[in-house]
Amino acid sequence: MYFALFFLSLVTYFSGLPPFSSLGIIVPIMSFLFWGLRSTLVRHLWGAAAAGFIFDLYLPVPIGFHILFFLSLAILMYLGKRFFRSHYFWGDYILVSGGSFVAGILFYIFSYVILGRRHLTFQYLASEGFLFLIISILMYFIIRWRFLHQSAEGESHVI
Amino acid sequence: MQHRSNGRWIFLGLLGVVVMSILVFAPVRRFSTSAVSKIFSPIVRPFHLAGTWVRGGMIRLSAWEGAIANQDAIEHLAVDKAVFESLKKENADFRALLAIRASTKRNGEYAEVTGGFHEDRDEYITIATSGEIPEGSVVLSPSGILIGIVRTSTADQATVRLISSPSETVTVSILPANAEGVLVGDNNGEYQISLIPGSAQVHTGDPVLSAGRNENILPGTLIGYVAEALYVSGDTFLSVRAKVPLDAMNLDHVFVIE
Repeated sequence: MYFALFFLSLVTYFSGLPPFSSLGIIVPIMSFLFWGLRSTLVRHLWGAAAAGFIFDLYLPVPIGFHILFFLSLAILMYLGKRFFRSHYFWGDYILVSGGSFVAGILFYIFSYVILGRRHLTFQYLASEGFLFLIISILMYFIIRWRFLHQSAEGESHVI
Repeated sequence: MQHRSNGRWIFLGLLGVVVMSILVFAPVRRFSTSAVSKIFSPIVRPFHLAGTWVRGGMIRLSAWEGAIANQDAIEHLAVDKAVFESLKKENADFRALLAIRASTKRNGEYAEVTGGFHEDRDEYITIATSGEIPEGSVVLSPSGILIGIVRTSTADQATVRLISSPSETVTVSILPANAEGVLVGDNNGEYQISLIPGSAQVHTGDPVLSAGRNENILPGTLIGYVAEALYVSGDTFLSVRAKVPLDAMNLDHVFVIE
């Protein structure tokens, strides 16, 4: 189900279907991290490579740019899960939301330094920050809903 | 436990081999891009059609019928005025233009729009093509307005970066003043035009055409019309904003000129 959500976010991102077309790349990134919460490292890495490849296929960037980006995110998620050991609400929320924030920073640095996109102004970053806030709030409720439906004994992270 | 751990290393190794093959070997890359686009594009297409339908509905909900008719009229007026002005200019340079057109016998294709998205501040549409289109090919709307340039291409699809993206720069000419400047997108359905001399007689509604100084873009292709031209006392250049007479994200077909 989590993978299906991630795949759906990828499809809607590239299709231009409103309102996903306005939300930008933050939705696929966040759903990728959300899927990572319940996925093993190997599956997550394969998904990262596939998603990165699709992005590289569609966008005029050097091949491997998005593959490396998503692989780094998968490894970050793995390290985060190792650190937290088991699922708990704020831990999961920080992994997804904080992970997206780190991803945004990484993406900005990659774009600015490697691709030389000097038009990424403060005004643009502010609008992206606002979108991030909206999706983070949405993710808060999704993760909360997930916790209301998990085992009473708690669950360990799948590594 | 040991067995599971071995399996994990095998899958990780396999992933490394696949990724490295794609990055290093061009034939593997070509094959995989073609295969993935063949699988992924048909999945994206119905969502794009749904998006077109939703956007069309949103436009109709948010605007009066008269406003829609007005928008259409503005588009046609802009096209007509641009054609008129460009004909006047072309008449003077007729022989030279004929020579250019004769030397650039180029193929064209009528392509279906299959998706649209934005990354950073750049806007893109994806189109279905009958073969691999050279990168840098020019994309026009069915009414002949320049909307973008092909930036990546596989055997059956291409990604077009719209010129409303800040990453695209086009040299333009504003008629009838014949003032040349540089146009950059602003993600707002508007373009910023810089380097127009302060002395140029530029007015609201003047058509903005390509100047033909970019590779592949023929001179005289309509891009938009002037929405505002401001002269600030003491400045060497005018501050010009141009408007796009259509919503490129909402097109269902485009012309691709190779």
